Amino acid sequence: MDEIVEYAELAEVEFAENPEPRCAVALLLDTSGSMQGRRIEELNNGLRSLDRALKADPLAALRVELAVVSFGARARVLDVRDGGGDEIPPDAAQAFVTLDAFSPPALLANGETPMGEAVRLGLGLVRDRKAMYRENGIDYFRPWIFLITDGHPTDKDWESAADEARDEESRRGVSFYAVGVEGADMRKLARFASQRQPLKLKGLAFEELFQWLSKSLAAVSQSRPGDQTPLPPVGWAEVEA
Amino acid sequence: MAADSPVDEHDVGGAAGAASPWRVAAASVVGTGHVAHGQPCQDAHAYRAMADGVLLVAVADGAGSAARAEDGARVAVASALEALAAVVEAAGGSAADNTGGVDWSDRMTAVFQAVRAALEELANVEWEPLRAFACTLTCALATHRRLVVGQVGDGVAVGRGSDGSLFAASQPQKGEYANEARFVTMADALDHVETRVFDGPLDAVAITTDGLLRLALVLPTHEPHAPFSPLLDFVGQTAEVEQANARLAAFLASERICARTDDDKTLVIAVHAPVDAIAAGDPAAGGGSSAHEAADELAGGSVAP
Repeated sequence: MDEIVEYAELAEVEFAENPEPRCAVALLLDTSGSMQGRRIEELNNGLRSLDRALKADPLAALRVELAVVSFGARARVLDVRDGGGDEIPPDAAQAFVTLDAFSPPALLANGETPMGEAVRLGLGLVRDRKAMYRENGIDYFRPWIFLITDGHPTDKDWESAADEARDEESRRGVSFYAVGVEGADMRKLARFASQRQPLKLKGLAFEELFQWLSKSLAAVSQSRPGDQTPLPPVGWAEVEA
Repeated sequence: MAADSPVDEHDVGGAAGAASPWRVAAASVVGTGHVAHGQPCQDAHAYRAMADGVLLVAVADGAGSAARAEDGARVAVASALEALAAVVEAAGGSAADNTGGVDWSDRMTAVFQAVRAALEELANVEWEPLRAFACTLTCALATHRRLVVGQVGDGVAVGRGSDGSLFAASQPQKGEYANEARFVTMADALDHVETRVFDGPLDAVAITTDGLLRLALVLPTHEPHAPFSPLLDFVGQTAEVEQANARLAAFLASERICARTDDDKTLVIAVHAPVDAIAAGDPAAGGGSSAHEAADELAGGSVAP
């Protein structure tokens, strides 16, 4: 409990030291057994390239805040601060960090695919983070939830989580993006997204996917009122037949 | 860093001139972010002292995303002053003291209607879409007895009563997200003209663009920031308009302000000086030092709670 209080205070210091507007991004990453091997390797590589690309953009590094929820066997929030990597409580003050303090966790794959639970965790984190911004007088952009999976939800109440995600997005509370790796159930994945169709990753193009994500987040986090912010072209997705 | 090409339109029209009880200092200064992107200062301001102690102020913040924002802001403040002056004249010169039956919300909406018409005309003449001139607008009509503020967008107005109490005379209109805003060029802008009326006695009024939001108001409560008061005093004590404007511009261009915002910033401060205080004032010495103190306090004060 004291630890949480301490973290909450830490977050307030963060806001005082860095009053830049924030763009919160929750990455929901499938770490189920089917991701073992090349997939989890490429996913880890992709995370590292996202880290490098965003750190290289000084303004994005101050504005984009990442949180990582992995879902393999269990959905868990991971500590993405330097020297972290372990599971932490689902507390928005601890879960999100700006890029200057971010360190990509090394993901391991095993177990089932509790996607619904991960989505619920992600929605809660984003909601709580926005409340923290408001309390601290920090401007913010619409948060992103970015989900990557190669399977289908195995938790039994995933559909209610999908409804929650759709509702939150229709209320303009979050932008929900879903990407399916080869083998993903694209039809079930589509149940989560109300605004845009999930896209299917071309082979193992994780690197391109995360490069695209970093460019998109850099653009969104620096967009100004009245801007139309077109996202860069998607080169990593399979074209629908 | 100098105050590069401030869009600085001190409207000299009107009847009052030297007889006005208002001391006004004003500056618009280009933001470091605009310099970095080769953009001009897209803020503009204008004010006019009229007969019977009426002061008109207009401040506009051109949208960074709009191609001709600086022109939009300039035309918006100029046309707002014209329309406000027409309101005052129609009300017989003492509009702000006229307590009986004036629907200020109606009058302000008419002012914004006139501003939109001027921007539409500009857009037609220049063969540009109206949104190329997108800007916010905050305007005020002030006398010692009354302050009327109208706004569309995220400008900020702060007033000070004769008892020295600061009050927020407007709340910035903002969407939930940082890249959302309201501009006078939007289709539904006239439905969102927010008019607030405050009864005096009024000692001072300040209007700023959102670049100075965090200096004028304490977030997230949006209460006025107490160190704002010495800055108003500085204007009240400085009789030389040029000197006051230059100091204000230097303050807005100072490193400490630039460290807080990379946006353009405009500040118009008007202080209603009682007649005996004008005679007794020691503008050169007193004004100079308190300008520094005010600047220090403003820039150094804990802005984030």
